[in-house]
Amino acid sequence: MASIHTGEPAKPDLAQAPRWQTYRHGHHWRNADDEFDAAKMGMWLFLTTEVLLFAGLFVAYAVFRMKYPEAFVAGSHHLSVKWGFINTVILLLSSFTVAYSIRCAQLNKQGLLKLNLLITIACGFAFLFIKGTFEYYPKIMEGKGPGWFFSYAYAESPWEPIWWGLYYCATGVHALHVIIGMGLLFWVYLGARKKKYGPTHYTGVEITGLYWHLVDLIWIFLFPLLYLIH
Amino acid sequence: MNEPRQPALNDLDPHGFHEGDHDHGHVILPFRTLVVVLAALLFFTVLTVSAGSAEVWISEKFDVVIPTWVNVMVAMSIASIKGMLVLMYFMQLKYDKPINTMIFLFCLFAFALFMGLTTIDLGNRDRIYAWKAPAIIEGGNSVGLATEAAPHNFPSGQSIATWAREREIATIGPEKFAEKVEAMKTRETSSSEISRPARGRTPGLFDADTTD
Amino acid sequence: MSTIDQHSQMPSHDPHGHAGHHEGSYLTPVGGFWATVWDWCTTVDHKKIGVMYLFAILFMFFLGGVAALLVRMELLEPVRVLSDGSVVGQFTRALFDADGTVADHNNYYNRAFTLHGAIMTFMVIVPSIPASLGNFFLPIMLGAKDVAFPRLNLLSWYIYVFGSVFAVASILGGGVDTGWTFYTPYSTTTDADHWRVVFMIIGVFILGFSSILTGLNFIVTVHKLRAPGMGWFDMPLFVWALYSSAIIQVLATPVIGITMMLLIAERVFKVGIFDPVLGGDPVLYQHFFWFYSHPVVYIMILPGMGVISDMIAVHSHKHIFGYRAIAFASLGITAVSFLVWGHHMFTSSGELAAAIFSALTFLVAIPTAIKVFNWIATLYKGNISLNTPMLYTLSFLFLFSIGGLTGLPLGALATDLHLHDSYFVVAHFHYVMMGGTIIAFVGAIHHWWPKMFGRMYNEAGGILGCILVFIGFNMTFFTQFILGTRGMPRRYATYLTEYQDLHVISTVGSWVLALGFLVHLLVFAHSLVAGRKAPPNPWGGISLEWEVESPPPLHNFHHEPIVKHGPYDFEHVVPPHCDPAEYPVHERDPNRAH
Repeated sequence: MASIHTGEPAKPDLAQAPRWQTYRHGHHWRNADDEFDAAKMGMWLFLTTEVLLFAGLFVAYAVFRMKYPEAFVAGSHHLSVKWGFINTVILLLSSFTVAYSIRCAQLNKQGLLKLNLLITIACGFAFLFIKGTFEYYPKIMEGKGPGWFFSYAYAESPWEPIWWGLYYCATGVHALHVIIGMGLLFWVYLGARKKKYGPTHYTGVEITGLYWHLVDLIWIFLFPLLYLIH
Repeated sequence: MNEPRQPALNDLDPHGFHEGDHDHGHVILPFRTLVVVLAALLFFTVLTVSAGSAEVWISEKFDVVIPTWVNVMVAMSIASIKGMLVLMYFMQLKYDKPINTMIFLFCLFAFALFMGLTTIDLGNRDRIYAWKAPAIIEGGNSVGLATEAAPHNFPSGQSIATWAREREIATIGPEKFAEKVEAMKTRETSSSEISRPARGRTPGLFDADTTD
Repeated sequence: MSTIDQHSQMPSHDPHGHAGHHEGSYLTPVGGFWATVWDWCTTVDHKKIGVMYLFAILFMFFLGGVAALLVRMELLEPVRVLSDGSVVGQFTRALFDADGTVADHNNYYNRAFTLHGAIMTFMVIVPSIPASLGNFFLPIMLGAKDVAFPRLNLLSWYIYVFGSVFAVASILGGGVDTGWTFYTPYSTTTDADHWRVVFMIIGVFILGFSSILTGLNFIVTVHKLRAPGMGWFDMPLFVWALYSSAIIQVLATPVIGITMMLLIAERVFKVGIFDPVLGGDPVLYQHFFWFYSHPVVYIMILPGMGVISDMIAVHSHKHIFGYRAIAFASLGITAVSFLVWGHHMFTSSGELAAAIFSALTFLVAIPTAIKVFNWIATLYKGNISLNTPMLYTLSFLFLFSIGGLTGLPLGALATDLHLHDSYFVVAHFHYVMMGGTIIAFVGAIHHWWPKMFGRMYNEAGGILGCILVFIGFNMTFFTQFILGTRGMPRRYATYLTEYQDLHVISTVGSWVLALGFLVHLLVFAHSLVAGRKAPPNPWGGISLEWEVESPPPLHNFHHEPIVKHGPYDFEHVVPPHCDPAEYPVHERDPNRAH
């Protein structure tokens, strides 16, 4: 049985009650707590698959860095630590706002919940904007493309096209997840506008938040691996 | 299979899921915790960037070559701490049911197997027969790249990096090219346009002329 | 959703309370024809989704089977036959070379075996038992009303169809000749200016999602939705097997996802990670591929082992021997499955890794043998009914043992280097995949057919089909063991005349096999149209699915069941809906779980 009632007490007029109060769990569940736990467990299992999806990129990274370390050092020096750092901060901040938004849902602070979700989505946009404008675009213009789009004359190692291939694949797949996460957050935001989330029912915020944290978690590892090689 | 069944069966909680763990999964993180975790994450981000700079500074100041694994170990240790913070507090594993932590640990275990056994193989391919060493032509031979759809006129037989370099030399002349290379070698910082080679660590195309 | 409910104190949370006490079976039409179609297309009922999966999988099985017959047809003669003027030749030409641009006609054969492999692996065997029978029976066996995430379940079916559409589109566009493994650099260079290969890869990528969602659903369902009184060791072994294979589905499938994504990036953008032309490493691709595709063979076989455990106990009317041993062996196979992928790469990987992988490979034999011994021990002194499901179970034991034992010489480095890429390998994995999974699948369809559709099938017809399948299978594939040890390599359209006799036997065997499946098809069709109405418990099983009517009601149970005995407690429990006189039982000890 749900065990917290930290929000506002239930209003007497149920027809006027917000949707989070009138939420009823699926017919095949014994109680709302089981449903919540199951949703969370399902999300963790899904996050497992996401980690193992990125595992492929990390393994490829490890193998090629082991084989051609000089290409990775040289390639990494083309990346801008400044923008990488800023993007890391942006993602950490967005992770914070998502965690905060769950707290807001639990405490029934509907305004702050929506604000936090919007800030998170904005952080996602900022991340993608910086990535595209200050990183991908100039790199590709200089010929530092992946694989056969590579035409940069001042490569220090003949393996640098591999580095760029990995760089674009890893950051590209990550960016794809940022976009998906922003879509999910926007869906949660639309729900929050309809007061779908509150102290007794905030599953959507919680599991979408988990997904967004994973996007952040992946970046926490990608940032030093890609930008800080010497 | 023959243990006695527990006599009393609680129909509402048949598996004892809720014995004594009512609050799991329903923790409201204090605002203060969230802020402290965020601050710690930002601190460690600054730390990892500084560690990278410090490494360069040390290697230049004392003229030592720091092995690659130092960089990886430092960066990955800090990233792991950051990851732990995110997992434990933002993702609430610390307060959650242990099954979710177990799921994540299984995932890391599978990841470790994938990483470990693959690198064991690809790092030791020539351990017994030298001809199984992986690279035969540096950076590949570009065979088959010169199709109609290709963005450039690739010749085959050499790596794409070499091809790009020779194309540049043919365009701007060897003197101008050598000048630009020198300029890059003496640069102190990287920018998005030009890279600064790590000293003594990147014997690549730049040094090929002198070391060959 | 619209009902106003003041949070958890309402009587609707009573576990026994349910509105639809007098509902019909799940097959009852909801209205007119189109209303019913729409109901099925939007259903979140696990039973309907299981049935839809069953028919989708059987359709793909038919396509893969046609490709297999083409492969065997090509090998009927030592020279190339698929491009001659015969009917089969014309059909193949129309399928794979409609615009007449294939210069090398051996490519017809390459495309036929690629389609067979890709369809059978990704679209038939991987989803076969879990997605169809597992979806249908896992919640019922647990005493639940549905899987944990019913909408995800429906989504997974649509994803399966969507991915299959991509794959079929690539067939209709002329087919793919990469082999089902898509090894680089061949797969990144073949058909370079065509979308066919990319479509097939996208199809495999999408199908991975379907598999992940099914596995995720099963794990959560087993953890969270067991009926009151059902502990972990009160679950049928089929559920244990599904749970074990679901773990692999969740942990291994994402790796094929990233592999296929990188392969698409490789083909479209030529990023070079797997391409030696750009400095990449094709062996890395093989590691990526087999990290998924070895565990996936356990996704395929574990559910098969699960249904065998259930069928062998029910049709022997006897308690399963070594319940916990079989359950833990399932988990053991799951654990070992991630350690042995390198045995597919003994000739391409380095020798050090090959030695490690070879040693680890033999670990698989332990849990597998434990299961086989326990099944055989279950038969001992059992009251065996030799009906179609039981015959299939016995076929499974026979064929799977051969398949498993021939895996041992392939797991040993020295012999494998000789047998690698020969017909011995082909025969080995067909004995495991088809002799194991497909045989178990077909047997399980017979076993649960009365429950699923409420109709009995013709037992004589089922037995005839089973015998034909058994004979045809052994004719087709046992000969291939001999061919392989004599040096016949895989994936060649032509061969030396010395091999022809055995190839002819094999090809004729494939026709017998096809005939056997045709008989089954007719038996099932007859059952649906004119079958006798099935009793709720035709075999005398005692797990939960036999307590409900045939076909089950819409919400599975009229009251949430409370489990008071184990799924194989045949010695102590009169099977539900059965005459106690026919099933004499010992005095029931209330303290005995099983």
